[in-house]
Amino acid sequence: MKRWLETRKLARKGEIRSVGKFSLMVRRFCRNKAAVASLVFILLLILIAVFADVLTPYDYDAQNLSEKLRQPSAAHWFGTDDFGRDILTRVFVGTRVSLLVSILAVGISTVFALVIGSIAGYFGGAVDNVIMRITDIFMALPGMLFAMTVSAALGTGIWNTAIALGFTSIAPIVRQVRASILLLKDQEFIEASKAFGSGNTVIIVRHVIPNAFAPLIVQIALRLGDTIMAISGLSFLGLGVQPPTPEWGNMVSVGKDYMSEFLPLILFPGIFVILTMLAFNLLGDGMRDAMDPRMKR
Amino acid sequence: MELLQIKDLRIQFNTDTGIVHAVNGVDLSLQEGECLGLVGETGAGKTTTALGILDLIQTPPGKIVSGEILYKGRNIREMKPHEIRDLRGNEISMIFQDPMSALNPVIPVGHQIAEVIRLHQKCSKNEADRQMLAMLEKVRIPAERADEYPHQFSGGMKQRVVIAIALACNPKLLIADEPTTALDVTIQAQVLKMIRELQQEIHTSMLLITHDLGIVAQTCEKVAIMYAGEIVESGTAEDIFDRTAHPYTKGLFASIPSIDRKMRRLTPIEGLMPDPTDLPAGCSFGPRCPYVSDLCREHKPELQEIGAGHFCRCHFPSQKRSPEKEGQ
Repeated sequence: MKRWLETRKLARKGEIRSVGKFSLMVRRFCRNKAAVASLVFILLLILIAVFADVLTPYDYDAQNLSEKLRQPSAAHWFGTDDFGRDILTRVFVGTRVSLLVSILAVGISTVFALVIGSIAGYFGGAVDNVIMRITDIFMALPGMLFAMTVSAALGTGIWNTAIALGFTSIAPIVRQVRASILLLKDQEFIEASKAFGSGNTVIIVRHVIPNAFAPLIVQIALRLGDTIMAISGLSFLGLGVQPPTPEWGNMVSVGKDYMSEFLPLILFPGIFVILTMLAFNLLGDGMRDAMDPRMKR
Repeated sequence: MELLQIKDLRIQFNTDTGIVHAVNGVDLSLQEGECLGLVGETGAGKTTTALGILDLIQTPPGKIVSGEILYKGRNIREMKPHEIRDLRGNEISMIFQDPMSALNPVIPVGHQIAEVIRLHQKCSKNEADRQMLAMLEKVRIPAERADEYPHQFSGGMKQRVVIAIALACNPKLLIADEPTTALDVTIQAQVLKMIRELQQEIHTSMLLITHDLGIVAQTCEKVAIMYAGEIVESGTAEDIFDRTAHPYTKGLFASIPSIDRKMRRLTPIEGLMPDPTDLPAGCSFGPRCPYVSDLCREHKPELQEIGAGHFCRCHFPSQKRSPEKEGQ
């Protein structure tokens, strides 16, 4: 006990190299340059989303028709749109909307999928069969079309868009969770845990889910990226977030009308969509590599 | 008093190719503090019997068809699920065959030991940690390695961690399912010695499952030989080693190389174990037995007492044909 505590104390003081799992994870993560860059970009986006109102001197819906469709300049870095509104401000506020909706959507689907997928994978048999057949039905529907239908039924707006998109992401995550749990279920350490007297809840929460976490994290990050894309898609079609609330998708939608003569309105929101998606994907990969203690390098 | 008594245990698995008769009427008994070796070749039903004791047979496809498993006089098969969970790891514990897969790869080893302690003893985290470290020291793993992950340990150390988990709550009965099979020979001896010492220290009974008669000779007071889901011979170690009665047991001894006998070739037992979905009508060892007769083919022999505490399932139990002669 004493020796162990001393080791811990020394480790905390930094006198010996700590073997804590978090520091190991961080060290492994930092070795992946693309993932670190993505993380920085996403953190930056979050800061932008939080401080969108104070970062630029303009209001996102203050119109100035005499200044409409101006090319980028010192006053308007990204130019102005068809109502003379500052595009930079609108892209920043759009960041807030996109991040909020995608985090809500993925949060909703992950919570549901984790519960449903764990039950299906762990208990198997008839329960599994029923759940997976229902999942198959949802998988058979084209995701975007399904989101559009739900969105049309629920109506537009931030919450409804999040629910619509969250709903469409449940099925693929359920499959992912179930697959990892099926793989884990027959591992000897699960049986060992049973033999040492653990109940089902302890086994699922302590042994199954943490082991299924690495693939789930990747899935979540990928889903966040996809959802960013889907929100923009829905808004582009007029089913997601409605003007005047700026959103990357509905900005691109307006921008396409002026595409031939005025590029900034479609270019800047488009770049943000793509970079955000890419960043989430790279972050997901980096996190997977870092979180898996079996990946020793 | 008997700590564990198994009476006429039968376990079957329903598979696509038919009903697998894995365990067919096993009787075993284990006294407190005693070490019983359960010996048999692969597929004889040793592990299935062990899992049956802990009620860990996967249902479906497996099923305990009949029999009683009396632990301290109470039938485990009649216990409620939460009562069985209280037994597992606390009163009856198990060491698994493969330490590489018996530990959770994403939890530090110390936590895995402390988890069992906290599960069964309502104690604080600090108290559990204290006991965990004591346990680690007992299996001679330095305490400062408690926060490391299983992949940072060698095979032998991992098995010692598994032993620490199994013995963390001072169980009354320890089931060791081929604890040394996955380890190399030098580590085997070391791990076995450790299990034996700890078993005596905390006065645990042990059911040692193995196919290595050498290990049994070193470790066990009592031995039961299992074949095709049945106990074919059981008794004290002296009974089995010096007064071998069943032809199968003799066959096992004949297939072990010996350093003090000159031998050109080992004498293996001819043939293979019968298909557990289609066991022979008479003696299940009949098809491979050199002394088989018509009686054996038609009538299944019963387990009969041929000496005090020495049982044998054979129509012609012989003590005269010694294994030495058979080995020539």
